[in-house]
Amino acid sequence: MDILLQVIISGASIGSIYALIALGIVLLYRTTRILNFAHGDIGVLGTFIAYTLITSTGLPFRVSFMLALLAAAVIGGCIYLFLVRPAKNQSELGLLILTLGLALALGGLDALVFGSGNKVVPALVDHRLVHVGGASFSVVTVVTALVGVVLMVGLWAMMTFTRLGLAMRAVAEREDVAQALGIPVRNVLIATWATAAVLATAAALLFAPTALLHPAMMLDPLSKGFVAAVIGGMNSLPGAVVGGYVLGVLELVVGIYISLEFKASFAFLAVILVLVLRPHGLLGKAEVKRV
Amino acid sequence: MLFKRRYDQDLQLIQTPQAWVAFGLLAAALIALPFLVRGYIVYNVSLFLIYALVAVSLAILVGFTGQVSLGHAGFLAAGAYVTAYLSSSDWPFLLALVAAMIVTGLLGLIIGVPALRLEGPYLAIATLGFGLGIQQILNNWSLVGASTGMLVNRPEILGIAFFRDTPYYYLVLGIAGLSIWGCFNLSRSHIGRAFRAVRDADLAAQMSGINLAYYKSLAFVLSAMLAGLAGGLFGPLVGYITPESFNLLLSIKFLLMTIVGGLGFLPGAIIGAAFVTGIEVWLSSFRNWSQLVFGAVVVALMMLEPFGLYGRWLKVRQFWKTWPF
Repeated sequence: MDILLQVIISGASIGSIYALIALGIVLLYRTTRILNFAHGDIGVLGTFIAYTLITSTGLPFRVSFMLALLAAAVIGGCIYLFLVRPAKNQSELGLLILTLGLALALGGLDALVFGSGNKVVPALVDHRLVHVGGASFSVVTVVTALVGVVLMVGLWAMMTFTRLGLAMRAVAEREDVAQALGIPVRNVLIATWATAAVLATAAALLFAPTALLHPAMMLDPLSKGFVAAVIGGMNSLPGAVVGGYVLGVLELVVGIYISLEFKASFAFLAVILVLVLRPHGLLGKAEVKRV
Repeated sequence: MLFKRRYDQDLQLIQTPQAWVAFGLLAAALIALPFLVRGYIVYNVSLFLIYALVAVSLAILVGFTGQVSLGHAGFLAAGAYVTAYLSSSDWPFLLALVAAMIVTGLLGLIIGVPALRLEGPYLAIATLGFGLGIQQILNNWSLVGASTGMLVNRPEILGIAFFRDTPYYYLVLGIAGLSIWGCFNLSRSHIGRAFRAVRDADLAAQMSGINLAYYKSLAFVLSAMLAGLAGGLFGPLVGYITPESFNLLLSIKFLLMTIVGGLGFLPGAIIGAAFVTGIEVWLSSFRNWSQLVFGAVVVALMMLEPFGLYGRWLKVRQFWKTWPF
């Protein structure tokens, strides 16, 4: 029972990172039809910015965290405005390849500018153990899960209550109709890319203290984020959250109760199983195509 | 301008005298290559031929049938490991290659049948999962050396040894060349037309009597078999295979080759393979910059040329054909 409690709390912690990544991926996919493979590398770039701010200017971690999120928003907007929008190959596959190229380029840039060695990033709070019942876990784990939840609620509030959120949903539904109704589609898409980049950086910043910061840090979480997004359904934001937490908890359960070697490949087996049963994910809707 | 008067003119793979000259020059250059350049270039051209075979197999899947795969390194790995394992237990090399093709073909069927229901990002992530899954399995399978990998010897066929780079280059040239030639023929057969019909409008294809499930899984099986064959050639070339040699980046590179060269054109896939292998060899001299430059080149190509390198070539050719009109 204690182990189970511990698994659920640790799983919720890593699950909220997966969910944040999946949210960014789904947000972009349902508005722009882009499977963004540069998502992880945008996050790593933001984390490197935060790390540089902490080590070289001595700013407190929380301030650097916020500044890095701001920088990520600018980077995300610029990627859309200067790379994706003017691209002549606007097919789904062409844009996928563009983001793959961007991921390679950003990874190379990180290695060149910040070095490819491992770096230690401090966590938001001090590492301290807390005992609840028989289970013990670090404060960092709880704070990670909490920050993740706060960000998700924030995104939900933005999508539901603000004019920008309404415009984003309209553009996701039908871009041309939204344009005809006078919604500034270009600016909305810039905002969507910026939001996705902020989510990526937040996920990377929360993940960095548990791993070591290096250019390929997000490779594994990103692939898990993709799996979470697909399990939840690529066009459903709640699905991304569900997928992230389910994957986070189940992965730990498999690691503890079945086998540790199997833990890494479990996610990919799970995704194939889910897709065989539900080809559009748990909460995703099948797209109706006009013939 | 070329006017076709008879049906069999249309069936020719190479249709004009100029194309025959170009083909002859290319063939002569490939055969004469080991006498003209240094050893490491011969090695890299062999690698290019193997990559070209994978790129062509991926072009059949992605370019013709419209099913994306981000896990082709998995098929390559399966082919390489089956060939390596069977060769080490004294099977003749060619028989091991055939066995590798059968095994990867079955793997393609296992992925291809569930893939019937998937499209777009779902298929991309499912195949990505397949590629990573194969890597994980190999990593934990002690029969094939787990994470330390396997040594693979160059083969000896019918008493002829292919141990050195140059003879092995000719072996790769022969097998890869024949397979690619077969793919060109396939693309012009009723199967190739069915693949393209499925890609362009699956409903209309079904209405015209094309069995959607059959052709979609056939594309997966054929593509997997060719990638497995390439894997069988890849192992002995590099001499030492580990699960890490077949990582996600390799799958991504294969997809890059197919699309950078020009999606839907077989020559495009080959040009893409040449481009990616060439740029890697060229960039390996300045280490730190290579990844950045490689990524930037891919982004620039996608931004500027929607039909890839082959599309640019077609446009240039069209311009000069109709010049000055």
